[in-house]
Amino acid sequence: MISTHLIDEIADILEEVIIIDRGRLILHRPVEELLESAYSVFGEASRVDQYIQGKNCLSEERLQNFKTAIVLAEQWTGLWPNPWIWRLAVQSCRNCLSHLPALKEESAMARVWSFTKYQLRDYRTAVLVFYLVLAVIAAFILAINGRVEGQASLSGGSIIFVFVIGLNCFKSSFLFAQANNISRWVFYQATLLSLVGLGIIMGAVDMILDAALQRLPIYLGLFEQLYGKAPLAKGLWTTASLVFAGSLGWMITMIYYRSSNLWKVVVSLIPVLISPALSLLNWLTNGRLTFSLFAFLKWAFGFAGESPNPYPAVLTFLAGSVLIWAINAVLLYRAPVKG
Amino acid sequence: MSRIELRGVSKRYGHNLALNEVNLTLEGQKIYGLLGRNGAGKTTLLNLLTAKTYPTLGTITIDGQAVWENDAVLSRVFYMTETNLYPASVRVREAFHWTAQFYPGFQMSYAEELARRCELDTRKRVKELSIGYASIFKAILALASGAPILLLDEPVLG
Repeated sequence: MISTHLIDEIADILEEVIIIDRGRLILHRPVEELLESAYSVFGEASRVDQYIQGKNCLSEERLQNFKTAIVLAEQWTGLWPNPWIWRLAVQSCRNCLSHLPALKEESAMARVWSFTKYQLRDYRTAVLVFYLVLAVIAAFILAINGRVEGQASLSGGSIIFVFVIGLNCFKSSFLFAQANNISRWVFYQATLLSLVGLGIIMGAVDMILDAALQRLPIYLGLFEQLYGKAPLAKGLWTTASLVFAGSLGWMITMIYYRSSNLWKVVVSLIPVLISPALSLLNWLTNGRLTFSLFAFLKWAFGFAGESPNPYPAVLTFLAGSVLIWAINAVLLYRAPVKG
Repeated sequence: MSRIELRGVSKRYGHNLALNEVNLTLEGQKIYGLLGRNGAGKTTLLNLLTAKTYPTLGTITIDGQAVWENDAVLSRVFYMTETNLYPASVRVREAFHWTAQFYPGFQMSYAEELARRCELDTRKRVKELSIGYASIFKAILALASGAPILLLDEPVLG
């Protein structure tokens, strides 16, 4: 089906014509019938004028003493929607039966996988640049090792980086998915998989980088600063925190996408309003709110016991990610395509 | 054989009734022209057919299956949109590559031949294309997609 208001260019390949006006279907007929519905008259201007008198004339064109008129056949008078499509009637019509290749249907699962690959490919350049920068910083740490006092660490940067990737993973990819008629649900699954995949890949790279730099006395990774040495827990914690950061970015960009301009302002004000709101509630509850919030965060990230425990933090990141995914599924529900 | 059916389809955008109770059946192996003035509802109709937007009222089916969130049906339709939905930094040949991933019937050699004949430089980024070349680019994707149903919105723009 070809949709256009530039009729001249396509008229000769059509077989059937559908016309809509102000949202209403007003005509649906074979082109041949439309072609028969009008005819042109050419001759001396005065005689043409005489002929078309009382008839339904769609257009007149005068050249000196001569005149061409397009006249609508009588039986069509009531059916003709608008004079502006008269041009269609004077175009020749040619049947064009295109040869169609054998039909291959694509399963939804195959599309999820293909789109996951697209998303990961989309992150690739940014990830490579990020690790190039990290390599430069690592070289710098190596150079200053033993010359200065203090500690150096790399892994905090990955979390912020994945958050930014999450912020950029939605809009242009969603539009690209729509350009390929990929459903919202397939897009959702693929984006989720790609962020989990990115978390696993970057978690593994971070582990290797940290393990290599750990030998330097100056270096102490973020995880070790918080929880001490625990290799297995470190792997889980790093991956879970990266997946959480990416999912959070994805959620924020989707909230903005679904918001009208007014809501955008409201949403932007939330972080600004949180601090005074907390102070007010704190004052109303005599400081108990801050106390319980702090206690909850300590508990959720494994600092409640005698020594820090990373596993509650892993569970908190995972539970947070699952909650965000549920919210994102709602945000994608019937999401419009905004180019 | 593909058969597209719209039953009592209306679409409302705020106060604007873009489509008003449209009933329409389209048969396979035919070329249809969808005509109307600016703002008549042509693009809205195509957006509804490809689940870009959800109808306010009515049902839309292809071969008896509802189109909404239905990849089995959607993957058999290629919709050349009027607005450019391709990421700005994507190159023409990368777009060919990815379209082939999502449309298994995509004919790469045909797409390349069409690009050569239209003098479309496949190394260019989509954002660098003029309006006319952007139309050609999208039309090539549609023609080579191998999808049994092609929907072309303003294919001759520019």
